[in-house]
Amino acid sequence: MRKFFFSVLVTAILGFASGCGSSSGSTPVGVPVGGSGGNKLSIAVDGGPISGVDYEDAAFASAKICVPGSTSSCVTVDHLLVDTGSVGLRVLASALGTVSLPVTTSSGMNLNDCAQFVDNSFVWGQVESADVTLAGEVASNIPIHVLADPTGFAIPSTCNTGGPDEDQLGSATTVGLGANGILGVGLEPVDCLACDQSISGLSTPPTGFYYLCSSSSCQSAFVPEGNQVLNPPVAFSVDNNGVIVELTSPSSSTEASLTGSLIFGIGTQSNNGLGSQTIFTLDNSDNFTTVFPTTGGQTLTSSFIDSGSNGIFFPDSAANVPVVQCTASGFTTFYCPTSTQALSAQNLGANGASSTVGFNVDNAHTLLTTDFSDAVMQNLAGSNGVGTCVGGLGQCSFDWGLPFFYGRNVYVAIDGQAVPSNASQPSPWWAY
Amino acid sequence: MKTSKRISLTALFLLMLAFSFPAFAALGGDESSVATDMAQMKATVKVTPGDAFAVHEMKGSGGSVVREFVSPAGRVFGVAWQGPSIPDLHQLLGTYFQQYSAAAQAAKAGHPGRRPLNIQLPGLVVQTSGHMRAFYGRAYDPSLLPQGVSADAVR
Repeated sequence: MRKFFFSVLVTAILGFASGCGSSSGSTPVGVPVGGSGGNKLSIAVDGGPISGVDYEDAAFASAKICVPGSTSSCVTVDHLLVDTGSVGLRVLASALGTVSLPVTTSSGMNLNDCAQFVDNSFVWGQVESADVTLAGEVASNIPIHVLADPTGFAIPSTCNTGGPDEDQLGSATTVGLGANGILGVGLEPVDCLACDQSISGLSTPPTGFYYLCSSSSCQSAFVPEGNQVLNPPVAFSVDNNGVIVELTSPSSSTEASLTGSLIFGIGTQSNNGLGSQTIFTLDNSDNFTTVFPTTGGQTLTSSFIDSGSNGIFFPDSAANVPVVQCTASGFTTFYCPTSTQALSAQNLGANGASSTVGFNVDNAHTLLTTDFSDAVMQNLAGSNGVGTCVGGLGQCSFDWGLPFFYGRNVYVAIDGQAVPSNASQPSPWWAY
Repeated sequence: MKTSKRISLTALFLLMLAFSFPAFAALGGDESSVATDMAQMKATVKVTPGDAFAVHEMKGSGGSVVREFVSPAGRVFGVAWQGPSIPDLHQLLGTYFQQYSAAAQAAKAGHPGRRPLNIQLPGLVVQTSGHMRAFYGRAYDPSLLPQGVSADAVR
């Protein structure tokens, strides 16, 4: 399956690149820099962009977004959530100011995208084209997702899950994205390979992804891969095979902020080599296995690493680890032990690689209701399903959110992209 | 008797494959609503009868699965789903939808973030996990669980 995807992908990307390689003028892009500039984007865990709201355990970056080919119709958008769990740049329309990007159309209708997230939140908006500059690298004329509530039609019920509609920033009292956008740099090249009918061979388009909308209604649509919202690094001329998220360790379990880097490319520059890190290969849903707890634990076969999850989330299996759930209204996702609880879990790649990871859990209700000055909460954790895991169904997932990244360099090798010669496994994979 | 009827219904409605979720019976609904909705189905359906409860499983060709758990009394006491996108929860949660929707939004007002959902209300539990392209979730009404059946069954 993946090999088939890969060949189609290469064809598509070659076609894509040849169509737009010259739009940004004479500036060379992605030049080798020896480790200090072009492929290194500053990121920060700083509580997010909303005054009075502490968006804890979230890393943010900035991007320059321009009308394709223009050097003047540009805006730099800060506080984009760095998300290795999703794919594509999604930005609030309100953050683009006066910059008006060309909309992707098909059969005279505007192409809209839907992205759903694990808490059943969703975002919606048109697919538009932009030149996206991240540090010194440029992704020219790529499809991005511009988030805005529609005018003239309702968001389809297959996109609107009933969870929070996060097409606005939000505030201390209202629901919103809590960021100016999402920089999805996950494991896949686009956000819905199955939406390309030539790849998936499906007879009807998947719901919850792409829609063509007329003035009155929207219909799910197939979209060729080249028109889909793209993982931005894939469009770089170099440093396009993955990313590395680098965050230092906080000096205590809570801290006001942390800074780090999002490095583009793996094994392409002096600052992104693959060294002694362990590679973990994945299943077809881009999951690996986590055994929790390490000794005598459940085998959680749908586990993953996700910088966009703002905590560590795992099943509370009373038989194995009695982690106490918070009971306060609005906090039932989180854990509330009476004192710091030390735990460990073992990650297993499809390739047999393994590593044991220790972590601590503190009382989330105390953290979230008394500490408004710290964006870094290393011991913030919550539930990810309840009960025992049988047959790989439902509750078999360990979600290594941003606290996992503190003090680690986490490599994300994008599906279908070349890997460095010293990598033992084809992409996609994680390494740390 | 009831069981064989169910199976013949299933055979009747093994229709063509499709990726999207068709109309389906809702949480708290009765079994007859399953049969009614099946007429519109475009996915394969498998019914596994049991003494304690029956499982109606619908599989789309894109890897999406919805399971409904039906009590001996004929009520849908739980639903579970997994797949690349989230199924139409208006349809699946029925009369519970508004309650779920309000709780899902309240959990995030003034508190942005990305984390699984764990709604624990007296008459409704909704839990999710996963990430883009691989979502999991379940919902059940604890008061409708058949005697001797634990919530673990809903998966």
